[in-house]
Amino acid sequence: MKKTIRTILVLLLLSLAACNDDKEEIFTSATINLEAADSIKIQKIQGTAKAVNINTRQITTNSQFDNLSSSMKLLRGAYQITINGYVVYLDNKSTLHTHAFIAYTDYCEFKDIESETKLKIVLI
Amino acid sequence: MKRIFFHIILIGCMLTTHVVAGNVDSTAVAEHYAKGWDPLYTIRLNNMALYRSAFNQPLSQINLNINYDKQKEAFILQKGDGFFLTELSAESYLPLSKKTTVWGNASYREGRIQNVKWNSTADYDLLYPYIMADSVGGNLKTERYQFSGGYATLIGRFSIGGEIKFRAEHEYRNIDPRPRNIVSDLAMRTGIATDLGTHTIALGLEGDIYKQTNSVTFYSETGEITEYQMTGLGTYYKRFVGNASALYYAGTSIGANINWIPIRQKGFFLTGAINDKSYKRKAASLNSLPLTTLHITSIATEMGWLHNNKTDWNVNIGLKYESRNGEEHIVGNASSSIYPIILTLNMYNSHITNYYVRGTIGSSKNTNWHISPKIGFIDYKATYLYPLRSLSLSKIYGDIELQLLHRFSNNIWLNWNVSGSYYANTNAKMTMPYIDMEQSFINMMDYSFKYYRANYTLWRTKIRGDYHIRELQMGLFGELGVKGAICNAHNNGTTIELSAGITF
Repeated sequence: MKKTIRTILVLLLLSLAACNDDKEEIFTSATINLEAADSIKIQKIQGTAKAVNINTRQITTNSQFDNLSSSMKLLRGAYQITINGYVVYLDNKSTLHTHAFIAYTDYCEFKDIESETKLKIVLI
Repeated sequence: MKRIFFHIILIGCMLTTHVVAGNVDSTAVAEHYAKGWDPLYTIRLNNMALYRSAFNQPLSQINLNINYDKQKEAFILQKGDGFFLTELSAESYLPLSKKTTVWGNASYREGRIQNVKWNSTADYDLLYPYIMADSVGGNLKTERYQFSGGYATLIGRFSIGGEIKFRAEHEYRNIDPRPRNIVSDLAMRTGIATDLGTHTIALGLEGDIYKQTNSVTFYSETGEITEYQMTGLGTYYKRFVGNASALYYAGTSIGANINWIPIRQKGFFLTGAINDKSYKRKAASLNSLPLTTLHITSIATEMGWLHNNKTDWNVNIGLKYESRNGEEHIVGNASSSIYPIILTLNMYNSHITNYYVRGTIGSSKNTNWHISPKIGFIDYKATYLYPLRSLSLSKIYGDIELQLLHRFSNNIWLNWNVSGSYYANTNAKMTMPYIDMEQSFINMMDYSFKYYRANYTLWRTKIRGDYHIRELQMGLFGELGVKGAICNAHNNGTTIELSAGITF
């Protein structure tokens, strides 16, 4: 009798324990790496990166750049990325220029805990 | 369809009359309807092997029920502020021999639900928060067909039983927005029980297959309003706003229960049940794209000591727990109208726990009376992970129920139930990113929170009279139930239930 009650209680406790849900990370550390044409050498970059989550329409912006990279904490998912700003660069003749630029993609996936994508700088 | 259904009910009733006529007496009614206070009664109803011996006497009943509810304003917007429902049902419980029992039920219900808002999906209690919704709403017409049948028998030392139940439900509205929801729900339950020493141990397994088609259309030339795919705590799937108003839900559930009850109606008892459900919401208009999946886990357990004799008493403690985990399927770029799912995120979760202690004392002599006080605590928390939204509340409650069953003569029984309860809120907190929310959603969440955090007084009384006509081997009954809810958010509601029918 006691043994049966004990078995029943253990089974109930086991089923309760089975209900603990595993928390999965929902954010990604997303890095956007900018690439310039081979003919120029980027000296300095200033701009704003805007990430629009395609599913939630949520917009995240960041104006901090580490060389040619911008990192953001985002909800994992699919994004449209736009970066607008100015670059200071050296051309083939080592002449210094300042120019407005844009970098854009209408679709990229940031699925993993750490994700990255590459965007080409287009001078405008 | 309705005509066919009525014929099925009537044929079922005629068959049951043929089988049992001459065996039933007026005490059968008392046996079937006077055991609400007994924990063993509830346990036997939930395990098909134990249901074989739940009652000693056969009873069949045809019942016409009218149910009217009116609230000053809706306590829960998504469920409306009232209803008027009419139901015709036939049910039967027939012990064919000392070893074998069969039972069955067929019912048809139709009516109207008033002023439903922020919900265009049927079975809200089952599927929330993953429903389709709009801010306009309106009245809904509803009809439901339900059949069930079960069989249990004793094979050697083992009692084995099973039941199949089918529900079909249809909800619709004839003015814009026009939801049309069709539910089919097939449930199967089975159980096995055997005696071990002074107790009976019973195990049960159950499963369910669920489907709902859920669509909203507009006929007006002045334009459509927005249908939202809700994702919990006032959030919605923004990408598919307006282009996914035809959905279907597909779900399954599996559950198990274990029961340990005393054979001689006195001693320790324990019951536990676990159930796991899963419902996928798919957009029919987007090539059956899965939008969300809802996982529901529920656990119910109760244990205590009971003594059913000339003086009945029992004391028990119980716990009911339910968690809901909502997964959103993250959709990538479409190619040839096929949307790939690139990942799944668990964005919504809620937990509700109900702890309680209950006792009963009473007598099953000539005037059968039982009084059952209960105190408990409810704790609820719901969270949407990003942007963070949360809702938490706790309530402490007390409840007392009295049942009186009196036999006025050999032919007349009167069964009276009265109960009252009070739910006092001890904690309520809601966090919302108001600055990013549209005004209509702010209003909806604030309205809901007003009633989440309110204190409630609930009362209920029900009286049923049975008159047995010995010459015809049948009985007549009438039942009137009234219940009310009053809350300190200046709202109240009343429900009136009228039933009449025959027993045989």
